[in-house]
Amino acid sequence: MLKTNADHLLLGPGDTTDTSLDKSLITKDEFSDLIHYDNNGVASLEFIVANLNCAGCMTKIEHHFGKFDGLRSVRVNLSERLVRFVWPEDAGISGRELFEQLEQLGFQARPVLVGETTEDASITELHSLLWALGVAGFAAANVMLLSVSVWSGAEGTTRELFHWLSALIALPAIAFAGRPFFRSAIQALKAGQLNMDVPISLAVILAAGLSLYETIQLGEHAFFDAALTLLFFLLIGRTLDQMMRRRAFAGVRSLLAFKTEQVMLIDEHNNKTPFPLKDVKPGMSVFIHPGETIPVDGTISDGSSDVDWSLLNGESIPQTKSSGDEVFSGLINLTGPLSIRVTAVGEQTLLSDIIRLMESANERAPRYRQLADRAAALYAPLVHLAALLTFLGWMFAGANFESALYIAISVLIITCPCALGLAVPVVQVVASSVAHSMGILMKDGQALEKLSEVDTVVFDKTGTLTTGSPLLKEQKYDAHFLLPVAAALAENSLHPLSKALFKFAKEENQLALPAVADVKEFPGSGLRGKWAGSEVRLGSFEWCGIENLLKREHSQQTDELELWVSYQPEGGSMVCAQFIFEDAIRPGVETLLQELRKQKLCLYLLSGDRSTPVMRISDKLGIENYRAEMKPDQKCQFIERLEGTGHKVLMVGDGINDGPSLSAAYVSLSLSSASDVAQVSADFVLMRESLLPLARLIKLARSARLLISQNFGIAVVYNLIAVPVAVAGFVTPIVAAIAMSLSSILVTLNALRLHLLNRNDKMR
Amino acid sequence: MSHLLFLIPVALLLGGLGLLGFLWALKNNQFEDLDGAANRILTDDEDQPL
Repeated sequence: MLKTNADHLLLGPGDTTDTSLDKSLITKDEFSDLIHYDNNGVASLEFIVANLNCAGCMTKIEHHFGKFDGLRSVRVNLSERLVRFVWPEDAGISGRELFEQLEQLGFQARPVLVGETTEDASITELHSLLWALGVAGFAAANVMLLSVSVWSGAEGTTRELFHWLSALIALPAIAFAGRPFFRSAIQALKAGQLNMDVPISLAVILAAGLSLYETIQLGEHAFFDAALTLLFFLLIGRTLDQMMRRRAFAGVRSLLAFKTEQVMLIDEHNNKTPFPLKDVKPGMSVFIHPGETIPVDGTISDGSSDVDWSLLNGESIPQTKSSGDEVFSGLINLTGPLSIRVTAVGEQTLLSDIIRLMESANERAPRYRQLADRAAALYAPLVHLAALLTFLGWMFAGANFESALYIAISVLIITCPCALGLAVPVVQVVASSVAHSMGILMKDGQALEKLSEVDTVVFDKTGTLTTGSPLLKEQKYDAHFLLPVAAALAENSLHPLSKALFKFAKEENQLALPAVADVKEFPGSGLRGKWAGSEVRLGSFEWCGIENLLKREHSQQTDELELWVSYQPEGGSMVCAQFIFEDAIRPGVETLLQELRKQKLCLYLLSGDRSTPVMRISDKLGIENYRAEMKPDQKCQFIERLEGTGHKVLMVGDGINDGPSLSAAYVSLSLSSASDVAQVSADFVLMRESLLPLARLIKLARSARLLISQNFGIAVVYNLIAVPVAVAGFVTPIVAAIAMSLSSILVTLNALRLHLLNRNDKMR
Repeated sequence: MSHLLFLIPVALLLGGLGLLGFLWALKNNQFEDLDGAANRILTDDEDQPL
């Protein structure tokens, strides 16, 4: 494709250059920083692969790389969409090679940092929960075995033996497996709050203590099995919750990838040396190759180029910048090499301003309390009060201290909040796996709850409603004849219109492209080359010199995305063609908007782009509320105003400029093609090309919320029946075991209906 | 009563074996990729992944 040519490095900046670039120069060493080396000389690199979703993909990758020279292992993790490569350090494998082969196989890969610290923490957390779960399960099963014998009539020494055996198994198991709850309960109490874990811990500890007392007294009733099954069920809920968090996290951690660490510094003798970005100071000069992201704010001192602003302000057409113009970090240099005199780095850049704006929006956003926590805040005091009143009541009625305490504790045991601790995580895990199968990563359960309340959706334009890459819409004049040569010229440019033209000719229509010699690119104008001995030009109307050939109507010039090509055969007359592009609307957007309107959601379009293209898109899609030329802080304020009037806003965006508004919005969604900033601040990340899953996601969130409230309802009914029975003192260990298992199973089954609800939806 | 002396240790031993098995599997990352494991059944070739 692109031929290697290191010569252009020797040309002074500002010269128009041969644009054939060595691809490795464009994206220097972005992979080497991400390779992880362990102490035994083993290197590993992980990629997150967006479109990895079946057994076929898995074998395709593992088989392809199975034959790769030097690799020690390649393993696909389907749950997290990760591919992990491991090789001996000295095998001479480059990350780029692996990356390119993945792309060739048709996978959208993105390298991630291996062994990032927070990720490790979440693994340890999950592992300790699974350990606790295993121990609780083992102990619960064995103690239940002994308890069943007691219930079915074991008496005397046998019962005493069984109780002692139960105590022997249960007490260490509770001490070990209960730690996640005890820890969180202590934390909550220290902060002067009540969470779900307080009544859970209390019930478990009191049940164990009471049973131990009964065992020592050689009494009839021991609740060891109840305490253990309770822990077991609740640990299942806790583990599911943690697993979901981890799955979401796997998507988000890829965002640390692709950070520019080094820049090319130009010294006073015009020598270029690699230099760490963090040491760059204002006043220095740096050199930016075409294709690179500009890492600093500065003024162009030499050279000119088309610069892509789309991530920063959503503008779809690149702007031509030359000597004396200002550029900002986050822009992408497209067509010519630039020397930039640095005016701001790091914290002082415009990009950092936007990130600060985002952080402050984040701080201003009210803290959301999850449904389960809100319910627990109501539930816990009620349960404690009920137990206390029971105790006092029985004392007052003349029962002795022991039996009053026994009944009070049985109230605590029987009211333990399984609907909160088990059913809510089950709903959220099922929802997250359904979302995952639709190609949506979810940050946490609360994002889903918030989404169900949304009544307003705000969209960004470029890259969100549109694909952000132009598509050929119309060809005029001698297009049939000139398309192949125009595409051959276009191949040499990184300009989005050139890329679109090349893609159209080569990939969609598979035209054979002629050889064009001496191709040069002139930033802001176009390209020039030689075809069959004569000059051929691709670029703007003026650049191609067509004004001699065609009279141009004035109206045609406005904001049209277009490329012209002209060819002057020797001795013949000039021929030309026009290619008109449009920023194509993302697949599924029309249907999505219809669905959203059906769901009675208010739609807004906020864009940083100029008003003509914004108007055109909003007319086409029928979005009446739109604003163009919005700066990041204006977008953010607009959303905060909407929320100020009581609306719950879902923001959908992709650019760096959307970061603050994504943080400010009640809940937010970004795309896998989006900037890192946008993905970090969003609650959901959509991994597919089409936006359509969003409509189903909102439905999913609403049905998840419905199920959670139903489960609360079931819990209320259960307690209305169980509490009076417990208060009256009729709860024996066998009653507690049956009641608790039944209620847990009931809420879990109800939670699993989410799968059914969603499947019906899919079939319709 | 006397067979209990025999049966209870056996029950505990078997349960303990189950627990050890689970912890072993956990240590060996058997639960890392549940979707992947479910899908790997579908690939019918015999050769090992590298």
